[in-house]
Parts: sequence; structure tokens; C-alpha cells
Amino acid sequence: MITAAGEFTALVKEHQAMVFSLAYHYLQDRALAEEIAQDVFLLLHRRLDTLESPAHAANWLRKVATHRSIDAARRRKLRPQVSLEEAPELSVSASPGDPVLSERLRQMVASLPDKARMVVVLRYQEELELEEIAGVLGIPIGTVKSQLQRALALLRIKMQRTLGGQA
Amino acid sequence: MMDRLEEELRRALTRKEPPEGFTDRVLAAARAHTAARERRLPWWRRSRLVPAAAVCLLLLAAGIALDRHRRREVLARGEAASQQVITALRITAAKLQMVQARVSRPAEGNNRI
Repeated sequence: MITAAGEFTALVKEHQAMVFSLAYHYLQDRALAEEIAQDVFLLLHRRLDTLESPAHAANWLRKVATHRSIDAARRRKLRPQVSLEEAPELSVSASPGDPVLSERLRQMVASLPDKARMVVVLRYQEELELEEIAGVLGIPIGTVKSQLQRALALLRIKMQRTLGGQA
Repeated sequence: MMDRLEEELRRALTRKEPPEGFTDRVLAAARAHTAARERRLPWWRRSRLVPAAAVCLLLLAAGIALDRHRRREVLARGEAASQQVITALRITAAKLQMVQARVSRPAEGNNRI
């Protein structure tokens, strides 16, 4: 059981990047992501005595941050502001790690449907296995697999267009 | 292509630190929440000293009651013992009177002869 105030501070410092990034990569809104991250940690503070270990707390934080982000997107109708097809083409170099390409990719991810978007964020930000993603989202593993494949197919098409066949 | 895309996705979606001061804001909000929760509690639950003091008072009262009970028991036992002594003395006095009466009787008979 986690109870001490010092342990709460340590949990915030250790997991704030994970919680904030989940919300930020999903919502593409820094202010809203910060608000969600703060809410998630306050909820953690209230439920500290129900969590058995730091590992349990980490899984709990990931799950709550994921669902809070999905809820926030639904509540504030944060459907993709720019659809994948409408997104302006950017001329980017094909060099690996190009910051412009990374930004373009984040825009592409933001234009994916809600569930598929969260699957991509959990897979590539959190490096989770399909089974773990299914556990976090509470959906069958087959659904996770198909959503990931569909999302990657969409992103691949868009990336090919962006890179003009360089990739 | 898939490998390149996945590699670029990992790079694009690396974790980012929240804005500066985030940790302090979270900790301040947690402290404010704790303080607000404390204010909502009735006065006797706000401090751990109050229940501790209540337990001490209870123990003290129980100790005093036990001590009084024991004193009463000792007094009662003393009272019973003194009553027994008085009864024994009374019985002894009665017996002595009887003996004295018997001893004085033959002397009275001799005088008559």
C-alpha cells in the first residue's frame, strides 16, 4: 500500500511525462493535456491507499490517463480538426528523425479515428504489446490488431504522399 | 516501409515532459485538496491527538473505577472480618459467663450444709 506524501511526489515525478504525453499525443492540445494530467494525479492522490505497489500505480495511471483522454475528446468534441484527406501536404525531407516529419506524423496520428488513435499512441509511445493495449482499452485483442493495421495502412499512404515516394 | 513508418512513429510519439512547474502545481493542488478535506471533517476527526486523548481519558477513567472497586472490596472484607471477631468475642464472653456460673454454684451449696 502506498501512503506517504514522499511516495506520491516520487510517483508524480516518475510518471508525469507518460501521463502528459498520452493525453497530448491523443488530443494534440497542450493545455487540455496538462489539465487531464493534473486531474489524473489528483485522482491518484485520493486513491493512494488502494494501490498496492509502484508498478500497480504505473498501470493505473496509464489506464486512467487513457480513458480520461478519450472522455475529454468525446466531451469537447475534439474530433480531428483536420481530416487525413484535408490535411495540407508538407514538403519534408526523407531523412530519419526529421523534426518536420515527426510533426507531420503527429498531425496524421491526430487525424485518425478515436480508438485507432489511442491504439497507435499506446503502441508507439508506450511500446505496449497488443494484449496490453487490449487490457488498457478493455477491447478484444483482435479489435486492437485490426485497428492498428488499418491505422498503419492509412498512415503509410499519407506518408508516401508526403515523402513523394522517397520512403 | 512499415519498418520506417513504425520507426518514425516511435520518434514522433516519444514521451514529452509536461510544461515547467507541472510537478509543483500538482503537489500544491494535492495539498489544497487534503486541506479542504480536513476542513470538511468534524472537529474531533481533524487531528489524531483528539482520538488519542479520548483513549487516554477512557483508560484513566477505567483505572480509577477499578481502583475504587478494589478499595470497596478491601473495606468490605475488613468489615466482615471485624464482624466475625465481634461475634467470636460475644460467643467467648457468653461461654465465660456460663463457666463462671458453674464454678460459683458448689460454693453456694457448701454454705447451705
